[in-house]
Amino acid sequence: MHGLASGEAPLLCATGLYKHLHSPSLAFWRARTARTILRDINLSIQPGERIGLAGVSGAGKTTLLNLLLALKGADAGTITCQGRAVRPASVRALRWYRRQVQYIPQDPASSLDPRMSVRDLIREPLVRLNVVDNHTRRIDEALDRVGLDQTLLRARPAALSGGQAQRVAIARAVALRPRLLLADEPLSGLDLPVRARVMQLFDDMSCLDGTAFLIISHDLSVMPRLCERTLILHDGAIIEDRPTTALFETPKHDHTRALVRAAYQDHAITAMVPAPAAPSLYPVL
Amino acid sequence: MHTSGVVIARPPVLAARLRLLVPTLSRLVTLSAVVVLVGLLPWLSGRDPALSILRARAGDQNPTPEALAAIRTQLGLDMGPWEKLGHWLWGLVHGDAGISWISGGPVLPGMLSATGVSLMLMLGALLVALLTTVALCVSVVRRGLIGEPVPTSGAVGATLTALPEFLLAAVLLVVFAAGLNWLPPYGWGEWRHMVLPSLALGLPAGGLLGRLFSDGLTASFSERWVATWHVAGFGRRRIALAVLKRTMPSLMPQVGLVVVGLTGGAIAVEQVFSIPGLGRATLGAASAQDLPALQTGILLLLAIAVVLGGAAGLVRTLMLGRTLRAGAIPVTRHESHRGRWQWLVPAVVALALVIIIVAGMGRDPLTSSYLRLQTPSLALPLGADGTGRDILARVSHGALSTMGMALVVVTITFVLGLLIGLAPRLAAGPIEVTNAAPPVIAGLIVAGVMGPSTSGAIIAVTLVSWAPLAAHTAALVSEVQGQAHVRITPMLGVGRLRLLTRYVLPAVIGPVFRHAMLRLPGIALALAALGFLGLGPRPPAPEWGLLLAEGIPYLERAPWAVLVPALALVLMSILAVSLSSLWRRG
Repeated sequence: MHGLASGEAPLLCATGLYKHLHSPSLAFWRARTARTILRDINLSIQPGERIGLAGVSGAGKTTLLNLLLALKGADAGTITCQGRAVRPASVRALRWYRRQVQYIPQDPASSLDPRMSVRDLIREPLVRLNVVDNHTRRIDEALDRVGLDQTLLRARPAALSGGQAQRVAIARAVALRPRLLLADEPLSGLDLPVRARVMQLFDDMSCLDGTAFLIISHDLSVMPRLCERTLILHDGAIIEDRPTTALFETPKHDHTRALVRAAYQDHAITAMVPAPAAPSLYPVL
Repeated sequence: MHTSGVVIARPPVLAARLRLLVPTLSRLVTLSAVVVLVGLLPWLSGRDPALSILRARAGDQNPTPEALAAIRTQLGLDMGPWEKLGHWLWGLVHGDAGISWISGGPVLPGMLSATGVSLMLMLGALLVALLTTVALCVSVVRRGLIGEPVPTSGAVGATLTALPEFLLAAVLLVVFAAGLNWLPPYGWGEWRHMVLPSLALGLPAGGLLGRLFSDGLTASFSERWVATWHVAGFGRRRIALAVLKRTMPSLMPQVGLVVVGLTGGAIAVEQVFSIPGLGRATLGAASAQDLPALQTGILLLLAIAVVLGGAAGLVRTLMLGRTLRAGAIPVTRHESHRGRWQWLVPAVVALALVIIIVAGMGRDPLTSSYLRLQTPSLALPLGADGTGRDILARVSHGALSTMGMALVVVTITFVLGLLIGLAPRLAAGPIEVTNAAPPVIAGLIVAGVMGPSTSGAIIAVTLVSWAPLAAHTAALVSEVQGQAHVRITPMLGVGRLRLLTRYVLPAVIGPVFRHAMLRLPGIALALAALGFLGLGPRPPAPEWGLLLAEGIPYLERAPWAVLVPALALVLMSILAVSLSSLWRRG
């Protein structure tokens, strides 16, 4: 399964993705109007790489995410993970992919089943995805990684603070030791200390474990701190794909310029920090 | 749907379109299934009417095998079930609904004239219902126009709704026909005959509609645009009309259900007032096992129900059409008005029922150890019935048997509702059809298959009671599937079975169970209605509906024989309505 682990093969590779949206018709015999949500998306992620995906609301970020997570199928184009094709299929057929590529949802706290304990929540994907390893050790390790106490193992989500719930959701993904993490707005709605923790955690994972990240945000200001490379999605197409520093210095498109300007106005300090070469060396805010 | 695990790679346009058709197909399939079921009734019942027809036609002829065989051939009894079904459908298209198994004459003409009578009755009832609704809503509109929309307390509406038609009919009969002698107790022909039946049928419907409209109008009056219109200087009449127009469409489905419910209620009312209508004819056919007549009656009742329901849907589409297509319906703010006393009424009523049950538990409900119609005394607190049996004992034991049957029904409907609610698209047709089918019509069909019996009544009520639970389950399931912790399950490798058992069902079971339990008294009433019409437990059994029916012949000499079971049923009705309104708020 892990045969293609050579440095050359990209971890995840998307070529020529198209996605159209058919607005639902009120009557079945009426023609439906189709709109192109994504056009000709090409994207490749190398092991350990940290890539940002930014764009205003409605640019197609969520749709692209659904395609990359194999939740929806593309109308044209292919996605491969280490040379293997990825497309929506049964839960069983996608287990290998779920072990490689995991997802941190936008509002992680609400993604925890209120009826499960923290231990069950983190164990669920280990069991369901047939991870052959000592599950208890994996759970302890994941909790340790996100900086949560063992005493929380029996707690239910309702008893957790917002920051703790966030970290449980990340621990659930981390316990699988994925090669790539897709994070949807991982910093929005977090208070500053928790933000700092999450950023530090991402730094550690990419430096120590070689985990790759695709970080999706409508806000460009988080990118310099988190990503070496940033893609700008506009109206369903990738209009920029460059190192974050270069993007901030010489934005090519008007839309990129607008996003950069907005980022400067909003978070002047963060945005001026250049993209870190060795992320963990930089102090956290 | 997409969270359930498997997603098709390229959503095929055709399949997506077909999926839109599933509910419509489901409706069509259900309706034709009902028609086929009705068509197969004679075969399903397995009865041989040859002898009775022979007797009816020529009383002195010897029932030789040849004569009987000739009749069987003539009736098509020797055909197989499907051949017979085709024959029946072919006949229907050509205006021939078969030959009565009792009289040997054609069924259709009598049934059609009975339909005319029933339609007259329903028209009168609709008029009464309309007047009641308007009366109940006047104060809501008045208060809404001065800008303080508060729903009417609903006490009058609740009381009216609480009385099922068969009960109200019996009470009206006692008071106005037997007691005050103002109006004729039974018959049909002049306007005086129409008053009491129309009231009995129309008042409960009007009470229910009044409550629905009072709530709906209050909600519409609290929408923001009403204040805007006031400020803009629109006249009161114009605003009132606009609010009405805003309220009507969302209530039309319920109005449709209430109006369709009249077909079921009419059966009971016709029975009580001896009106030669469709319901009474069909009921007579069911108890005499005259299956061709029963088939025709059920089919006509269903046709009336479908036409009425379709009309309600059409009105809704016409009123809402353009707004619905534009997706521009304003949002209603739902405010819960929970009183501190919300549990008081159900608690007091339940206590009264428990007292009756406990008081009569030790007494004997079956032996006739007293004088016929003996008046109430200290030893016999509630008097004796027409055959000298202790009424207190019968009411008490009847409560237990009715409640026991209701409990069985609730348990089955709970399981059925859960299972069917998990496949809501496929179940759209059955849910709508059974939601609209009055229990009495289901009772008629079941009685046609297996004859009137306790288990028949249980089956009939079960058949029409699972739908609200399934609809509730379906709503909860789609709600749960939209929640973030369920939407992420594909990423965690959670398969369908586990998704269902570990994520969806635990969130759904609790609320649906509470809902099912709150329906218990309502189901008990439906069972009592079947018992009253003779479609449930057979005579010596102490069943509430049966008790009421047995008392009616002695109305004038022993009013208590009617009043006591009627009172017990009123208590049960109040319990049902107060619990169901609790449900709607909670």
